[in-house]
Amino acid sequence: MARRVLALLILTALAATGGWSFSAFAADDAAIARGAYLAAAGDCTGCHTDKKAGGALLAGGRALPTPFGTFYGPNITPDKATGIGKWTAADFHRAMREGKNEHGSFMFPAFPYTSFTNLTDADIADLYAYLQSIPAVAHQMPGHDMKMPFGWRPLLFGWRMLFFKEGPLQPVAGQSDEWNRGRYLAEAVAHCQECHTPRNLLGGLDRRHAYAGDPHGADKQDAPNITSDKKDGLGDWKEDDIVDLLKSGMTPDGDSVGGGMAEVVEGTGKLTDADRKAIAVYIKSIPPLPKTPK
Amino acid sequence: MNFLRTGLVAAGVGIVLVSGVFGVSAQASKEAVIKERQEFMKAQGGDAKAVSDYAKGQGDQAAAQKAAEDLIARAPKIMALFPAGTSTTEFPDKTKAKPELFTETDKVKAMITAMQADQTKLLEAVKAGNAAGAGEQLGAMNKDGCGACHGAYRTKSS
Repeated sequence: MARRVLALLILTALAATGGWSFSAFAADDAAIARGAYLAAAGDCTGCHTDKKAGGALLAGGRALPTPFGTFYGPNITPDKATGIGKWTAADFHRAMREGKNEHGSFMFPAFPYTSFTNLTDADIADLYAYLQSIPAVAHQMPGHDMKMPFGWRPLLFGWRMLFFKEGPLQPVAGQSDEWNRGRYLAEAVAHCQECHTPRNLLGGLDRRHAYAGDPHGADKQDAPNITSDKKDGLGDWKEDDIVDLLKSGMTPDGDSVGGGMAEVVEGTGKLTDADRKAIAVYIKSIPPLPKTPK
Repeated sequence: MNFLRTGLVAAGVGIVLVSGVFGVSAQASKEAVIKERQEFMKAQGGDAKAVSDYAKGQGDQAAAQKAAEDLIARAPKIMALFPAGTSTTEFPDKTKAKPELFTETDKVKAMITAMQADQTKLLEAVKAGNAAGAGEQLGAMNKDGCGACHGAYRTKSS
């Protein structure tokens, strides 16, 4: 009898342990999948993968020339020596939320933490789970090649006072769940403003022209006006036109998006129809503004 | 002697004038080709839209077939529309074609070849009345050809 009870206890313990392990594994898998989805929506590869040179996934991007110097998207694979393998979840959270690196130093805002700070804690955790799950690739990226005096990180203290507002995006009461979801995806995850809003002389987003296009974007990009202005923006576009563009990269007149947006569409093409629709609903609600002058 | 000097001066002036005329002419010819390719691309877009409309159940099959045939007929003409000296370097206000397009011609040709294969399948799908298949092939054409080239070699995002 005692032997039977013992066997039963062992079996129960094994089942419980096995069950717990399975749940933990399943939870991690789900977090990784959610993180992969967010990484696609946020087009992490755009800056962190050198696609043109056939570089490994997220092992470092191509040079990104800006008026302040040339940035190199860092290796964010879990390689301990050259990537973020030594970063804890807290380190990663601080980078995304506060724009500070693993040593606590201010990060250059070429890394768009001004948008990523709007992410939820849960989404940041999922992104971390995903990034720690991809193959570690040893690839040392060069340091950023900044023009004087922009490479001096303490200067960023003042910059952040002017242009950085930390914290998750709060839903707007009175707007639909779909609109709020679209706003979250556009503002926090896909960080649309980082390209479609022009920058002032100090490199801060000039939100007086929010979404009105940036003719002098990074990498010599001419990002268009995507406000609802009928002449210069997307005023004549239907929501479905935006959904189609985010899915296939094709505009209503049959053109194919180019430049950085082609990379963005590689990610937004992987989103659910519901999320693409939510982004479209939000983008269509942006007040009309004329195109940012050159 | 005076006659010789006058002749030399006249010849020099002539050379300068002729060079100038040729220079202006070459410049005008490059601007003309930029304009021509922009019109060409608009026509490409119009055809892509016709197929897209058909794929979405908003356009008719005959129009989509004609559009697919036009796309196939135009594809071999693309490279000739990008002669050297017509990039953003020379014409920053008139074109969005990055200079790399003119040096990485092997890559551009590979994109066109991939696009042509997609276009053949696109036409087959349209002819078969397979709207969903046409939509898929249009997506493939966009990914391998139009979008790939615009993504790599056009400064304007859309």
